[in-house]
Parts: sequence; C-alpha cells; structure tokens
Amino acid sequence: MSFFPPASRFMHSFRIRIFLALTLIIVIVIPGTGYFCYIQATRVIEKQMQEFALGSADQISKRVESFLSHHTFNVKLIKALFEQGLIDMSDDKEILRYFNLFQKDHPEFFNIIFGDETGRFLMSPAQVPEVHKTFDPRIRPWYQGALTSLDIHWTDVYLFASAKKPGMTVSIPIYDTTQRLQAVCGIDIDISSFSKFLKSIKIGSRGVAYIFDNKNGRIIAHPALVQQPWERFHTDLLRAVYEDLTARGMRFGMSEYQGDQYVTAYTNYPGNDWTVGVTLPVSDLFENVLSIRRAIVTLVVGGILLASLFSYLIAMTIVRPLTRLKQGIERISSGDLEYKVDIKDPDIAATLAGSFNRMAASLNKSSNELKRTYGELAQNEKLAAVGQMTAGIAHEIKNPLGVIQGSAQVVANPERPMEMREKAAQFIMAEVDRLNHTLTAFLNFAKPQSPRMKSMDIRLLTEEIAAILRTQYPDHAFTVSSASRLPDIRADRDQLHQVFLNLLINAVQAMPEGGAVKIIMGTRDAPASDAPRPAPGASGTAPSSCVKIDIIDNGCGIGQDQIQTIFDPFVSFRDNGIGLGLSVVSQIIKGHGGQMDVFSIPGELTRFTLIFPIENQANHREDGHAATDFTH
Amino acid sequence: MLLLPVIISGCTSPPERLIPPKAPPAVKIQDGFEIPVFSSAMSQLNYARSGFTDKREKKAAFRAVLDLFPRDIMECGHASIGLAYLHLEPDYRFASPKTIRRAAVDFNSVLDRFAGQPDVVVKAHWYLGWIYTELMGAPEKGLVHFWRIVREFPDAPVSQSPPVPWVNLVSPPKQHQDRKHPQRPEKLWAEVALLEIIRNTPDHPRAALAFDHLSERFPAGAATGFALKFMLADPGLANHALPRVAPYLSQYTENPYLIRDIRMLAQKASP
Repeated sequence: MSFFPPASRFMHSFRIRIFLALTLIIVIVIPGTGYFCYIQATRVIEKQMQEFALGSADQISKRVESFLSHHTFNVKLIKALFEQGLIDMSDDKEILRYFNLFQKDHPEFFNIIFGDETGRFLMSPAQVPEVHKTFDPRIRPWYQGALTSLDIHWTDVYLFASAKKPGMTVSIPIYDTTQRLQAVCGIDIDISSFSKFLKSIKIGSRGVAYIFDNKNGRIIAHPALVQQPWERFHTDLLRAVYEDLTARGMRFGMSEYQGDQYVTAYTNYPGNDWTVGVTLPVSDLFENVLSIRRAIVTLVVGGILLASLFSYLIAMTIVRPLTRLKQGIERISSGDLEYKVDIKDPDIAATLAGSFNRMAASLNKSSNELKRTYGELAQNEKLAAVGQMTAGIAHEIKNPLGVIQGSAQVVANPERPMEMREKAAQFIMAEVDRLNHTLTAFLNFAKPQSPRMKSMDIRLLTEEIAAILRTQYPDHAFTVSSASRLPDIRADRDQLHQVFLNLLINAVQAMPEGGAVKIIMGTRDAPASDAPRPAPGASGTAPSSCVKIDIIDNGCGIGQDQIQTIFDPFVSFRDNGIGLGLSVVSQIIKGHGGQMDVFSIPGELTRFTLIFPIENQANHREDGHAATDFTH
Repeated sequence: MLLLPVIISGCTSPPERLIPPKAPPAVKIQDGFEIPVFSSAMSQLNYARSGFTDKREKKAAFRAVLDLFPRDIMECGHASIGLAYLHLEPDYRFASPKTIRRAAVDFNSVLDRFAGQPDVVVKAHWYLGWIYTELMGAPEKGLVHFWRIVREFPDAPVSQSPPVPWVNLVSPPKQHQDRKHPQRPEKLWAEVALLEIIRNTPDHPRAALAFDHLSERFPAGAATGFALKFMLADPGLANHALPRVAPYLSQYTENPYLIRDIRMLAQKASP
C-alpha cells in the first residue's frame, strides 16, 4: 500500500500535464536562449580579443617607432649643427653647453654623446669620472655602428658603461666638407622609457605589453622594468607563452599557464629585430562574458522557478473553469437542472460555460415538457384503464343483471308455476352471489390491501392448500416436493394463500380430465442474469438468495400469443372467467418483492415460477439440498 | 520583487581574480618624495643609484638608505658618497667652486665616518683626488689621496653599480653571460689612481716612477695603455715611455684604436 497516488494517476492529471508542458517549454526555451547568447558573446569576444591584442601590439609598435624617430630626427639635427659649423667641434665646453641645452628641451634623452677619432669623448650629463678616465668611445657599439653604416645607426640593446643600465643608442657620423669623418654623435635611450610608455598603456585590467629582441629573446621593455631594481614580474608566464607560440609557429594564440588561459599577440617591430608582444589573461576579456554567463544562469534558475510558479497558476486558471463545469455537470446529473455555471474568464471557457448553460436550460425545458407529456400520458392511461375496467365490470355485471331481470319477472308473475318461480328465485340468488364475487375480485385488483408481512414457512402453506385441493379435485394429483428445510420468508399468509389457490385452480382448470400438478420448492443463489424472466410489470430484481417455487401442470398449455397478456386485467381465456386472477397474483408477488415467470408448451405443460426473498440470510442453512418428496 | 535581487546578484563583478593583484610596495616619504622601501640595503642603494631626472629625488633616495638601513655600514657609506657626488650634478664640468668645495667636504666626512669600510674609503679617496686635481686645480692635494690608494688599497676593485639583470624569454636565460660587459675589463682603484698620478704629477721622475709601478702591476691593463699614450704625448715623459711600448703592445689587444694611437705616438716620439 502506497501513501502516494499512483504515478499514472498523477500523470493523467490535466493540471499536472499543463503545468509540465509549460514548465518543459520554459526549461528548454530559457536555458536554450541563454546558451545561444553566451556562445554568440563568446565568439564575438574571441574575435574582439584577437583584434584587440593584435591592434594593441600594432599601436605599440607604431608608438615606439614614433618615439625612436624623434631621437633619429634630433641626432640628425645635432649632426647638422656640427657640419654647418654652428657648434665648434674643437671646443669641448661649447659642445657640452649645446648638449645641455638639448637635454633641457628633451629630458627623454638619456645621454647625448660625442666621440672622435682621437678618443675624445664628451657626454651630457657627465660620465662617472672613474669610468671616463679609461673610456674610449671608438670601441663602443654606437661609434662602430655609425662608421659601418655611414649614416643613422641604431645599436642593439646593450649595457651603458656608466649607469650599467640596458639601453640603445642612435648615432650618426659627422663629416667635414670634404666628407672626412670628424666624429660620431649619438643619443642614448634608456629603454626603461619604453617600459614607462608600456606601463602607461592599459591592456585590459591585467594585460601586459612588452618588447623583446628576436635574436636573443631579451626583454627590452616591460611595464615592470621602469626603475631599478626591477620588480619581479611574470617572466615565467611570458617565457611559457613564448615557447608555446614559437613551438606552434604562431604569432597569435591562446596558451595555458598554471591552469589559466592567456591570449598573446606578437607583432614585428619594423625598425629593429624586435617583437612587440601583448599578453593578457583570457578571463580579463571574458570577465564581461562570465558576468553575462553568471547573470544568464541566475536568470535562468530564477526564471524557471518563477515561470514554474506562473505555469502552475496558469494551469490552475485553465483548469478552474473546467472544474466548475464538472461541478455543474454533477449538479445537473443529480437533477438540479436550474444550476448555472458562472465562468467569465478565459473567454473560451466563458463560451463553453455559456454553451453548457444553454444546454442545461434546454435540458430543463425538455425535462419539463417530458414531465408534462408523461403526466398527460399517465392521465390518458389511467382513463383508458378506467374505461377498460368499466367495460369489464359492465360486461361482468350486465349478464347477471339480465339473468336477474328475467328471473325477477318470472318470480313476479303469479301466473307462473311456483316451482318455476322458486327456480327463478334461486337463479337470482346465484347471480347475486356471482356479482358479489365479481365485485370483490374487482375491489381486490383495484385497491389491493397492503400485505401484512410475517415470517412464515411457505412449505406448510403450500401443503395445506394442496391438501384442500386434493379433497375438492380427487381426479388430480397434487405433489409437493421441497428441500428438507426451506428458509422462512416474510409474507402475508392470506395473500399467498390466494396466490397459490389461484395458480393451482388454474392448473386444475387446464386439465379438465384430471392430471398431475407438481409443486417443487427450493432455494437458489442465482445471479440476476440467471433469474427467471420477470413477469411483465413485475418490479425489483431477483435477490441473490431466495425461495423458488415451480408449479407445473401437464394441461393444455398457453399459446405464445396468449402468454404475453395473461397478466393483464380482464384477460381470460375461459368463458366464465373475469380475467383478474393472474393480475391480482402478479400484484401480490410484486408487493412481496418477488418475481413471477411463466413457461408453457401448448398441449404439454405450463410452469409458473415464483421467487420470494428469504427472510434472513443467516437462517438459510445449506444442509438441505436433497429433495424430499411430499407426494401424497 | 523576486527577480530584482536575482538580477543584481547575477550582474555583479566576480569576487575572485585569476591573478591576485600585487600588493602595493611599501613606500617611505623622504623629503617629500615617495621612496619605495626594499627588503635589503643593497636593493635600496641600487634604487638610489638608478636613473633619476630629478636631482632632489635622487638625494631623497640616498637619504632613505641611511634612514632605513643605518646598520648596513657599507651601503650607508656608498649612499653617503652618492650624496656627496650629488653636489657636482648634473654636470661636474659646470659645477661652481662652492658646490665643488661642498662635495670635497662631504667626501672628507665620508672618510671620517666610514674609516672601517675599505670599499667606501678607497672610493672617497679617489673622488677627493679627482676633485682636488681636476675640479679645484690643486693637484698636490689630490695626489696625496691617489698615493694613499696606491699604498693602502692596492687591490681594491672599482665597485661600480652592479649591472641590471637581463630578463630573457628563451629558456634557460643567459643572464650570467649578459651581466658581464665584454668591453669592460676589471679595474682596480689603484690602477686608475696611478693613471691620475701620472697625468697630474708635475715631477716627471715621480710620474715615471708611478708608470713603472702601473706597468709592473698591470702590464696589459687599459689604464697602462692610456698612461703610455699620455706619456708618449708628453716630451718630458716620452723617453721613459718608449721602451715600454713594445712589451705593452705585445700583451694588450683589446682596443685597436688605443694600440694604433700608441704606435703613432711612439713613432712620433722615436728619435
């Protein structure tokens, strides 16, 4: 036994079905839409990420180029000043004054340097003296590079001798009017200025831009390298990314480092053999997408909960009118045809309710008409019955009255002989008796007495009647057989006496030459379907446990056309019968809650079967099914 | 009402970050400047020695070393030298006599305060010798300091600022190679002190004696080459230098320009 209703019953609930259908749609639609939006946003972000990284690297490359070109321009300007004779190359003080002026205007110039073929070296600001004492510019990269290129030369990144800082120098040879080399001048660039510049660039919230030398992988600039001592930064991360992309031969890609995803873009710096790199955590760019995802997930969960609630309410809204309709149907089924269903929303349910109410009104109207018609029919039937009865009575009374009238005339005529007049008087008396008998029978039929039920042994009653009839009809054999102990029934003894007397006399009359009449009694447990065909007009159903009595004669039988009307009043197939006997029997049987059936084979036998409910099922003992013959 | 907190909670930024934000470095307000505080006196000193565009900020950085690490005597001594040298910045060649005197006073003070720190004392001596001889025109006073270096600190190396480490993307990084500048030979303070003695000693025999001492100790040193070049150009010293040219050129190969200069001057000085 389960405390819960069966799943099938649960699933068959209309309300649950609507609720599940709506919820299912919501559960599919909302997350589906959210997931689609998330995927689209991810794709857009990935594309933007690539464009952003490559664009940033490209912009940095251009900015660096612009920054360096500024130095190139100025070193050319210095060269021009020397070659035009505006600065006296032989005057150290004058050279230094000019250099100092340049530096005031351009604080971004780390050093402005000058060296000549004699090993003379001038620098602004001044070089550290202990270095300066043994410093020879001619062996420095910037000097040698300018001599080799004969024009503007950019050194690789190298360590400045005095500051021991990495930097690079743009240098240019200075010629005299005969194109003989006079000196080399240059501008040192502290590459930490690149780092400062990179630090000023915002690459997402945690991204980093950097520059490294392709030849040796040295990081030339990084936001963390703005000041000595350098801050620690994610060298291992950049190294892992570099090795990953180099191994894959890619300039843009995603790399994993310590469980996190990073996107990196490399762009070649055109002026030098450098690469501008941009690396940033994917989560940086995906932060908004992740926020969107979180919002979607939260909204989906909240939406589902909320929508489920709404679905339930909607299901209730849909089902409630149907429930009201159901209640209306039940009320109308119970006979309350005046009941109206009041549904105003939703419109289709209101329409349905309107149709239902119209149907109920129509049903009510039809019912009223039916009642009225039925009443009229009943009245007509009553009148017809009265007419039929009146005709029967008239017929039954008319003949005796005719006899009485003729006999009375004989009695009243003194001229008739006395014997005749006495005989006529006897006729009158006989006919009066007959009229009395007819009227009694009529009264019994028209106004049957209510049975006075008492517990009784029907076998004894049957045997008593059989004994009387044996005396009256010695040419007929009456046998009574029954189970050893029949259960008692509740019945009116007098009325049952009349029933059996009528049926047995009918049997006798069906056998004028004499014959055998068998009365077989027993009990039966018969379902209604096995019960004998009820007598026309009989009411009630066969009880499951009852007393069954068969009265069988082997007389002339009843024709099939006659058998349908034998229980109707005033139907008699004998000349002297008034046709009320079997009608009265039928009424009495119905009054006892029993059934009556008739079976006949013309010329062979007729069997009347009577069924009575037993008084108490407990009194019915199953020990007496063996038949006992009471044949006398 | 139900949806509102859901949306608000769903749209807020995530609390976690993939890379935790770096804790801001500790700073010390020194003379109005924010000076980062490092874990060691050497790091603090290196920071002060790094490039500054503002002289006052650099001064504050050196003073921060003294304030933050008073027990690290050597670093405090170098910081004091840095402070003394700041009088001569931005360009000692245009420094006023007043600031030069202040620098000399401060360097002398360093000698007194950090007498037990040879690295500091030798540098202070050299700078005093340089200031007196080159900036104040008092070589007799300067030579005293140079000779003290030669006598008292013959093996003291010139401790310049340590080179910055290279950061390399190629594994394994070759930082140990990069730190050593290929063009810079190791130098001793005595080496450059002797060079200055040779250049500034008016007495030729004493200068020649100093050169002999230099060439004996550093037969293939750059300072010896520069001294040779100087002496070959000086008629009073050329004769003393000429016999030393061949032995020197047989050992020194680093600077072809210097070799060329010596050869040219030797040719000129040769009888």
